[in-house]
Amino acid sequence: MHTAARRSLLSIVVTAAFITINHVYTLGSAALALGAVLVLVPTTLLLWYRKTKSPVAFGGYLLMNVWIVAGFGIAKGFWGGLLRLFIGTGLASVSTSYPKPSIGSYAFEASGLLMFVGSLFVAYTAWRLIEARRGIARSPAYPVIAMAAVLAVLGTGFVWNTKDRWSPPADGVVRVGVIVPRSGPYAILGGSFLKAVEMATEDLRNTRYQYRLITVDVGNDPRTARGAIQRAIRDDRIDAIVGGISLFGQVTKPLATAARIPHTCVCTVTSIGDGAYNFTNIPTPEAEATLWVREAQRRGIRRVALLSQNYPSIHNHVRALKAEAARAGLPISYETEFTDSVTDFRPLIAAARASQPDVYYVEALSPQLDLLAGQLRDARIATIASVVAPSLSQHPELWEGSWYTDSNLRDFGFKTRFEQKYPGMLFATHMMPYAYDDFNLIVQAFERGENPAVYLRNVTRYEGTAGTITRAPGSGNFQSAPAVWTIRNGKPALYN
Amino acid sequence: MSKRAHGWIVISVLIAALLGGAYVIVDRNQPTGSTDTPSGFLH
Repeated sequence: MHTAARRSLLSIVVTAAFITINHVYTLGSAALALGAVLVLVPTTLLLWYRKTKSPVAFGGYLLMNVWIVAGFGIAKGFWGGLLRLFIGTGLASVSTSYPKPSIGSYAFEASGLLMFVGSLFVAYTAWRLIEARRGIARSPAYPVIAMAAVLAVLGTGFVWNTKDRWSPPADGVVRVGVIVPRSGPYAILGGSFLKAVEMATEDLRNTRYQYRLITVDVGNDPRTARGAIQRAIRDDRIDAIVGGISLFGQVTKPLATAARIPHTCVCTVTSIGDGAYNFTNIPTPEAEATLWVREAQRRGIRRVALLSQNYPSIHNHVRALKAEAARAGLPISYETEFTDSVTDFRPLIAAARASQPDVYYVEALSPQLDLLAGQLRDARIATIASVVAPSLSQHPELWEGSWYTDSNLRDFGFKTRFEQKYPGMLFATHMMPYAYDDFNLIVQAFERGENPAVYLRNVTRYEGTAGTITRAPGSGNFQSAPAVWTIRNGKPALYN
Repeated sequence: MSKRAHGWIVISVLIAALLGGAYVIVDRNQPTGSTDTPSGFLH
């Protein structure tokens, strides 16, 4: 009896250690309290039983075993760990009807597997303890077979449950959540994103289902956005999500995955696109850089001066540009990065000019963007180029004749139509066509009677307003080729 | 070698296979591309 009790308690303590490590990733330091409960309560109950032979103590001890085995070992370790990691990955590799599972760090995944293995020891030693208490010692074949049968049934259930199946929308209405900020510093972009999706909805003709937009104002704080998105998923029962701005795409990603609905995002953070339920759709900084350098070489440019603001997204563009320039043998004659407090750029311009560049690459946020352009004009410098930024200038006349790369527009009439329909509304070339196309991708899925997430996993090429977008099988990132733009007569215009 | 020792060897090999398989899967799923936290007009 003592030996069986010791082995049972030892297996609980070891398994509790794995449970604690695994839960640090979700509970933080509170996982230590969980671990303490899982060790101290069974120990106390076993000591109490040893002293009094109380059936209550023994029953309590067994209940703790059941909690560890069923709650942590089977539910989390086996279903949420082993099956997700191995069976889920295997199923996703053979059929797009199954999503690629979300996978955590190795320590998280390994502790989850060990939680399951440990729980098998907990179950086995608990059974031996019960047998010892009853004074009998039978072969463990029966409980081993019973446990194997339970795991086999769960495995079959996992395969059935994980498959994404088509189900027609309730009442013939597809509810599409539009998740963008409508207030704060992103209000202009969010508002015009919403208008692009509304325009896409109004452009629909003869569809099998109705498409209703559920707008979700996520404010300007990603921390409060989570609640708004959860409410939309739960209360409005949205069938799909189109969104923009990576800060909010990062919040939406796990919620869309949990709800098993597709989420397309006009986001530069490519890790948001997992190829399961989340897909990004925007040219990468690398694609912009490749075209920018090619255009520079076509223009006979031999030296480039870089003047850019210290800002995460701008870093991505500048980093990609420098890498591509180095690859193509295009020297950077001068490089400087400024903060958002700088208003006098004349010393920087003078230093850049001293390096004798053929073109000044400029990228910044407003108001520095136009301040810098104005001071370059004052210095009689007209050879200005950029990526995306001039399309959002408040004073495009300062950028007259400059060139830059930005998203392509297959149909320039789309921009014209947008500006006529929503006068005064900013047309963000780097966003609007993708918002329009993302919505139509969702529509196509429902019109074809396919599960929308499965449909997106199968799309590798799409002809939309942003031109041809492509996606490598399994990838969560739609790729598209940017185009060269210029400011002509105070307005953005495709160069060719 | 005793039956018990055989059992422990089999269990150890199975656990090592589980952990090794997990390592391979996690390694293949490392995120690639930009993960900077962006904000503003370049989203």
